[in-house]
Amino acid sequence: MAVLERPNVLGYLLLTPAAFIIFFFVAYPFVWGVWMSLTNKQIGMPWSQVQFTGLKNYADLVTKDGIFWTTVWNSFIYTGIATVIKWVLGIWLALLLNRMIRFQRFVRAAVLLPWIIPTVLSTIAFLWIFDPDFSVLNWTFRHFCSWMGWECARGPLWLGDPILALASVTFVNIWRGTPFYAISFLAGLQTISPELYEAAAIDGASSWQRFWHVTLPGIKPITVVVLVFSIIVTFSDFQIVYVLTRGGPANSTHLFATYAYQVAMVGSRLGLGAAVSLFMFPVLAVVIVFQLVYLRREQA
Amino acid sequence: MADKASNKRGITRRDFVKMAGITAGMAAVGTGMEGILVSHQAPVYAQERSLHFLLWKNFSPPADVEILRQGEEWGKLSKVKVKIEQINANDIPARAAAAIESRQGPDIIQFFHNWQNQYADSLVDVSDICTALESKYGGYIDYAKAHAMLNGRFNAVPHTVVPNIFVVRASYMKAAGTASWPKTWEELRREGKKWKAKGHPIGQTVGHTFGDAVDFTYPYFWSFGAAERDEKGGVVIASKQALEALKFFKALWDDAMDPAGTGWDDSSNNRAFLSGAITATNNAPSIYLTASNQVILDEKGAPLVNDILHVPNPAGPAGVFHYHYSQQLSIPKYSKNVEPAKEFIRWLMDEEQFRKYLRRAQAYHGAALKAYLKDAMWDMFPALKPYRDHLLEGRHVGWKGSADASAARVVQNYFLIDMLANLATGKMTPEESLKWGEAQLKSIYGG
Repeated sequence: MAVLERPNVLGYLLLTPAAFIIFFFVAYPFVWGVWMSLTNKQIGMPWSQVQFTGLKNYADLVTKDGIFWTTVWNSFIYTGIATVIKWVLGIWLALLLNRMIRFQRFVRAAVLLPWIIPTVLSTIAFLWIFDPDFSVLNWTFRHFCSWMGWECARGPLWLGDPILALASVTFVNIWRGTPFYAISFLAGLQTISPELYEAAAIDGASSWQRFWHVTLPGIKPITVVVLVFSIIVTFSDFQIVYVLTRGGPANSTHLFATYAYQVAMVGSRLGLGAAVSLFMFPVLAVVIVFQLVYLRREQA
Repeated sequence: MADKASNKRGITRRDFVKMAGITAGMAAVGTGMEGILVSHQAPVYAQERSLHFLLWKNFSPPADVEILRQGEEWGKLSKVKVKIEQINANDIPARAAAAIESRQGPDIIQFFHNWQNQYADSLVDVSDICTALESKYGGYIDYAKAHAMLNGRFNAVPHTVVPNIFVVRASYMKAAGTASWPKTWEELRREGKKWKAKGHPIGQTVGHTFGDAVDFTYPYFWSFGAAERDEKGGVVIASKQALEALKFFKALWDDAMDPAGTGWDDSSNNRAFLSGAITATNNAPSIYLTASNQVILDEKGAPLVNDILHVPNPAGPAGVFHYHYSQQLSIPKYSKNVEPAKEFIRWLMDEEQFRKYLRRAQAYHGAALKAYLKDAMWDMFPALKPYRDHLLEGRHVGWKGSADASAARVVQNYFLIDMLANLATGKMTPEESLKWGEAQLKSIYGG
């Protein structure tokens, strides 16, 4: 037992379970994925027949694949727009919730609902909401048109038009992700001392100046964490696109995860699919490094 | 006295207590450790055999009832625990891929088109079952055989084919002044324009979905004389015929078709047809069966089935072509139950069972075996007879080449369908879409 009292021994001992989990559930699959992306591995192909192809899969995607660059573009647009809107709506909602006094607990619980419901279930509901003929959206649209005396036989093709389809899947991501931002920012807001607002008010700061110089700096640490987490999750999103469009129409909504799935699991080209998914790595690595640098600077 | 009496029957009180102990021990813990300790003997088990069968959720619900019943019946007869798992057809490829790669999962997997050829080496050779069935039932329909056999070896047992022709609302045609179903694509475009003007266009998906999108797209290209590959397997899509097909499709789509089709799945056109939104769509018999089983009424309150026609695909410059997707059953090599799986498939394909299945499915399926073309089932559903009449006209995916693994990957990646979708969504011109399609096909076939 005396051995355990030595800090270096106890430290390594306590670290072992976490290291074990990281090795087997993060490092091993990652290295395996990298290896697979350098081969011509297909579903069912015995490893004895698998050939090392170097960077061929990556080169083919960049130079020959007619869907890959659409996927790259979609992933950045989807992540960029969704993250900015979620951030704005999240702060707005958090400020409202922070001021709300009546029904506070009920409203906070209700706000979290979109984030709590399993994504596939809520997305199936959106599949109906976006139906061109039988949805509540287009029903309302048609009746509004007829009320206005306009000629419009049908509403927009939410999932049938390339731009609208990408906008629709982005909207569902925003709907689902905003509560996470709001609740996280709310927690941040409640750590800001009211005295800072009082001091700013005495100094004659307007409400916008109070928001800009007190609120935003006050929630900056939590903003960085939330943004990094959200970007990672949004960039690698799968379920919303898979349920709503399966990457269509005409590959207009494929993201890295859905295209990797399409190529590897449906099209059985595991090596190529691994290469598609690994294109996410540099982007996510930059985001994570940014977060680590920021956190270290804050700690210093 | 009691001991003496016992002795006369050869059982001592000690023996009785011992046996009672054994019996009680066995009864109390069944075959548990205490029973083993008391009896000084390991229990004997009849090892329970089990079978896991993965298939789709059928568009004809009574077919599901029947296959579940048949699984249960065979399970009782064979003393095998049969687990039948049904999922969305669009999810079968990924589920099968995961099973094949991890070497564990269902013992029998139902595949569509030629999907299973992607991992043919991982599937059990079922040529023994297929050749026996062929000789007994007059052989397989060509495309069903082409999908299930690769390099002279059956890697799947052809089960059924799902026929696809056009389903039409007769009254909508008539109201627009169309006397009869158009014989050619050109006529369809001309008449469809009138239907669309009346608010009931032609409805067809060019989305990422397993059935209708393939059933429409492949024969459409073939009817213009275009094919993805030639007899030697080379990519020949970049042809004058394919370009003509694409140019015509753009005109057909804009003039006569429902623009919503770009976002549809396999069930969307059924809903659109049954609700009166479209005049015609290429489909399996599910629209008719739903209208019939649910007694759906038309706008005048009459049964909708009386207003439904089933007609062949229009002809292109190269003639009339159809595509009816096949369904076949494979046994992965990882299965520890290959023999029970083979027994079950043989039993399912036996005339008595198979005939029941076809009839419960209400002629939604045709059989992959030619003998059933003459089955009395078709007389029970006379409105669906046109499906039978065109059943032999189909081709296999990858035609004019082989329906091999590469052809399966082309289907799975929706490349030909996306060539049409590129036009329907306005993303590309016919020339651009042709170039895009050729590049995509070459990424699979090589060249």
